[in-house]
Amino acid sequence: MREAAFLLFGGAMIISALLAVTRRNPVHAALWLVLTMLSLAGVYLALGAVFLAMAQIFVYAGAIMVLFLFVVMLVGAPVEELKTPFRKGSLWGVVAAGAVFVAFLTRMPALERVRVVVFEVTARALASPLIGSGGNWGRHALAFELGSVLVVAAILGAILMVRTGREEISEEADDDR
Amino acid sequence: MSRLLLSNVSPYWGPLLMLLGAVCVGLGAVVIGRFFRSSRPTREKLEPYECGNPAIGDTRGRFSVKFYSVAMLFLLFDAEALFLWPWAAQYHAEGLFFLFEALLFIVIVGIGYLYAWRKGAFEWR
Amino acid sequence: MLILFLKTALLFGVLLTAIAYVVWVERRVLGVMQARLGPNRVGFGILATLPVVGRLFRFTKETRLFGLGQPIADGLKLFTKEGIEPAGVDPWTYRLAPILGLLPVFLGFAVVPIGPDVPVLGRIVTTQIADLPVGVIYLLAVGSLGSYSVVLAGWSSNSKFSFLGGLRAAAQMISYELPMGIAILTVVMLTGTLSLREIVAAQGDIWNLFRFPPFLILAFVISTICAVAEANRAPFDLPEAESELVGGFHTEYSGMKFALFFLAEYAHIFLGGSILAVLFLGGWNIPFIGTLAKVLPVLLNPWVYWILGVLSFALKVFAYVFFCIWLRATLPRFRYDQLMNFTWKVLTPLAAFNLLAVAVLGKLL
Repeated sequence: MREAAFLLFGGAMIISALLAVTRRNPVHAALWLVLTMLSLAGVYLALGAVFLAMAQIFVYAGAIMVLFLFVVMLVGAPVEELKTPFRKGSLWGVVAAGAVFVAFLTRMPALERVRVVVFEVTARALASPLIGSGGNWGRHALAFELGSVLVVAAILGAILMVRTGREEISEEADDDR
Repeated sequence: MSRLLLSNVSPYWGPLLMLLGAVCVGLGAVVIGRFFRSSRPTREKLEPYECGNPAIGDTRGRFSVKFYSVAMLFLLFDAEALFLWPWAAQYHAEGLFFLFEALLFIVIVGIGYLYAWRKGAFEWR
Repeated sequence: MLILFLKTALLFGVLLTAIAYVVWVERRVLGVMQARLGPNRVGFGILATLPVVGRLFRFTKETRLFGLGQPIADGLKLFTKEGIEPAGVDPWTYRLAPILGLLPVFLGFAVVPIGPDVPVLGRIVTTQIADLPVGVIYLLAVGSLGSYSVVLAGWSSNSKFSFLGGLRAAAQMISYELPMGIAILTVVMLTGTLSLREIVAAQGDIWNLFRFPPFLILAFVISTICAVAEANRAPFDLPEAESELVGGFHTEYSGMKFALFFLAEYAHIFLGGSILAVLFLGGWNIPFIGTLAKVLPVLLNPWVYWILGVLSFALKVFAYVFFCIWLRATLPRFRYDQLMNFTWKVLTPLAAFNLLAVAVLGKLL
């Protein structure tokens, strides 16, 4: 059952990712990318990473892709500008992706030796290694606390980015309010 | 794991069935109705609605960068909330130290929030 | 598996009927609140033509039954109405958006526990489609997908009103999700589980609402406000502010596609009520059932208990639905900057302080 679900979601992921990079309309591309994110959540679910799957939907499909859509609409790129989806640079992208894929294949143990033990990782199971238990720091407690620092850094960045363009857009902001 | 072993049906079938049902309701309503409804388009009828006037300018034009910054701030605080879910689920079983770690986390993010407030990121202008 | 199929089909049937009739309830209640009648004409004159039943109940052609036929008439009208697809729309996204609106709402209902377990033919059947170990976060994750439908409808329609309405709606929905998530964290902290079934079970003695007063009440109030705002209901119905945006993101939609948006909005109200009932109001738990059962032991019969539980749950949800209608009749609409300031500057910090207070007090007391 798990294998079937894994293959199903993995296949959906690859197909939607391919469709995402070949669409000419940026909004359509973003929509296929949403489906890619959701399929990835499905893959996580098939592997038993329940909390991670929900986080994937919550953050990537629910927040990051909405942001992407807003950016695409904010720029408002006319579809005609993107008539040629394949540029010379995209060839290098394919080469790089292929290299990474080959590297993965060489590092991967032979298929018959792979025996994945799947157990469901729920939110509570994550808490003790991540944050700590029994009055001890968890193994990744520092990373947990650094996560908050990262969020603060990202807030600074976001505000700086929006503020630099403030003078030019202030008129439009009035119109659209 | 134990849940999956005990119940012969994985609970994730439920959401899948609901998804299928909702797609059927949505598609069915639109597709089946196609055989019952009239379709007599005229040029005026197909114009985008702009209170009866001919449409002015480009529709999918630019809009306030504010929407973008709201989406970005939401993403950041959403990610922050995500860190707290495992903590909240385990909270009742742990002691003061566990609480202290989360307080530290929230205070650091709170500083970022205050900074954003001072810089006017929450002013809708 | 077969039971799961039946439960899903039953849930869909109940929900769709309830939604159709809540539209009628809303119009009647608004009518009463505004000192007018509301729809009271469309009835069941057709019942008079039934052979035996018509005689028995003395149905005539004037049998109106308070206008209960209105939802059926409305449904038929919308079903047969011309579906106009304006020039310049982006066809596939335009057709996808209304269907996309239904998915997150109905997916959300998959984890809502509606009633206690009940034995059917020697097997214990839960009155819930699926009990996920991450139920609460599943609800929020699925709910966060709701903004796609509106933003796509707005973008694909090739109309300025739709576009602005869609963007507004999306920004509003994501902004109100944040305080709701933080407020719900307090419930998870107190019950120590993310499974909705276990959260309901933990409220047998006392509803979450009444624990740690007044903090959980505050969390409930924040969640209620956010639930109303997420469903784009008055006073947060900015996305379809008639006076400035015509119909908002669904300005260019007609016929059945419009009806699907309508359906999703009302289903969203029900989902919001269900979430609030499960997390704060004890779900299907019946108040004082333990004391009552001492006098009337028949209440503990599984089927009686089940019926009472489902009724108790339905009552809570309908109380919320009525509250939404009441709000619509009472409050004027927010201005958009007020709306955004309210969630970012008031609700979010309030929810965060509430969380801190519950966290600290929960360990100290």
